[in-house]
Amino acid sequence: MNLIETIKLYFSYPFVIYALITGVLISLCASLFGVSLVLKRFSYIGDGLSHSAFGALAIASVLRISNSMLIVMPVTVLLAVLILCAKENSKIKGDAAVSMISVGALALGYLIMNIFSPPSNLSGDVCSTLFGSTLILTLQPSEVIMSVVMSVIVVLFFIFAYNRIFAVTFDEEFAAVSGTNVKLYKIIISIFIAIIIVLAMNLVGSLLISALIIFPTVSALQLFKSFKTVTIFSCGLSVLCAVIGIFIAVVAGTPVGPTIVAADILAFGVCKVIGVIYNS
Amino acid sequence: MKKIILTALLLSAAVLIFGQTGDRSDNAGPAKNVQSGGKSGTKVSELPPQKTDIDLTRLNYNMATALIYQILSDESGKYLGKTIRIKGVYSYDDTVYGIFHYVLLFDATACCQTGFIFEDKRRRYPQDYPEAFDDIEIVGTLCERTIDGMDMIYIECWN
Repeated sequence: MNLIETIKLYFSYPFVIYALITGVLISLCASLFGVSLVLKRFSYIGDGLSHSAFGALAIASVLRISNSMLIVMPVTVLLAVLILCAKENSKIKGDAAVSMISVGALALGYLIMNIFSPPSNLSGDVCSTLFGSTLILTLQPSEVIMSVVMSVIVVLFFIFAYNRIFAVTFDEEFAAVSGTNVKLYKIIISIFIAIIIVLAMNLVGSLLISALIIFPTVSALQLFKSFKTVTIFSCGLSVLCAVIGIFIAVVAGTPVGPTIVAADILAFGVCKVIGVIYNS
Repeated sequence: MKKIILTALLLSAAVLIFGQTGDRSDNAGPAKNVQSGGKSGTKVSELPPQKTDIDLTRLNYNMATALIYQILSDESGKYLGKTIRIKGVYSYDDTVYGIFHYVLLFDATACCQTGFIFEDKRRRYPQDYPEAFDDIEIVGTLCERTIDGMDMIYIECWN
């Protein structure tokens, strides 16, 4: 079977199309809010929240809850709100709080899985959850529809609240003075980031989610300076890398998550070189 | 969901039992023990021996794993009665419900595994079966049975 026949055969399966649709939407949403997170020095929040989602997933698995989202989503949203809305003068600063939650949830999640006998083929689940090896290829139509609905809500919110997100990202005091309810917007942004991270676990796994948030934004920052152009370019780049990554992973049989991240790394390298040449 | 849980439970038990012993082989490797031939149910009786509805040997690990998941999680029964070919490693598990035989696919790091339970009425255990973790190729029909209240999809080898 030659390459063309292989591609035709593989892309005739509905679950490959589901993976592409979901991958494009998740990478788009992650890069949308990635710009705000990177500029607010919260790049590492993706790791912190995804690791806490892993911990919640471990609890759901041990409790034999078939729909793990019932536990994973509320826990991740709660932690996202706590981290992003923590006061500047709190005793535990933002980066320390993220690190504590990150390693704490990861360790406790794995500990729980080891102490309590998992009910199913959990070793495989752990591998997929951590590295997103083939998880996105096992999505059911209902999960794809949920991803589409959540992604549409996230994109619409970003478009309609663009000016306020911009203000909250760069200067919270100015945003407050100009009449924006900063606290409310931070809570809403936290909730959306948590939702994106839980959805993104299907795509690249818990350990690699930060790549979806950071790489497209940092790549765009090598070439552009304004918030708007950086956001637009990072979205396009993120979607492109996701499509290339999924395509290569499906055809070559490589793990999906790491392949997407490898595409992001390559794109960053190209943008960096172009940026250096352009600036010199 | 119950099908996945039961099958996964049995598969994980098999992997746990044999996970510490034997050399694991790549699922794409050459088959040492091939079980195929003949015909079984009415739906497949007209098919030539080499032609199957689902040929997992043509797919890489990602695609084979995804398709196995689709088959095990399907509740409409659309895969039942279809003929299937799969190449992997052999394993078994002696349970209170009897001996279960498996064909398993491992990923490159042997971290994740998936596969099917299979039955072959022509063979007697253990003399007619390979050693654990030998490469095998199975050709058969997807069937379903209920064990302890849970539905289980398995491959009935052609005989």
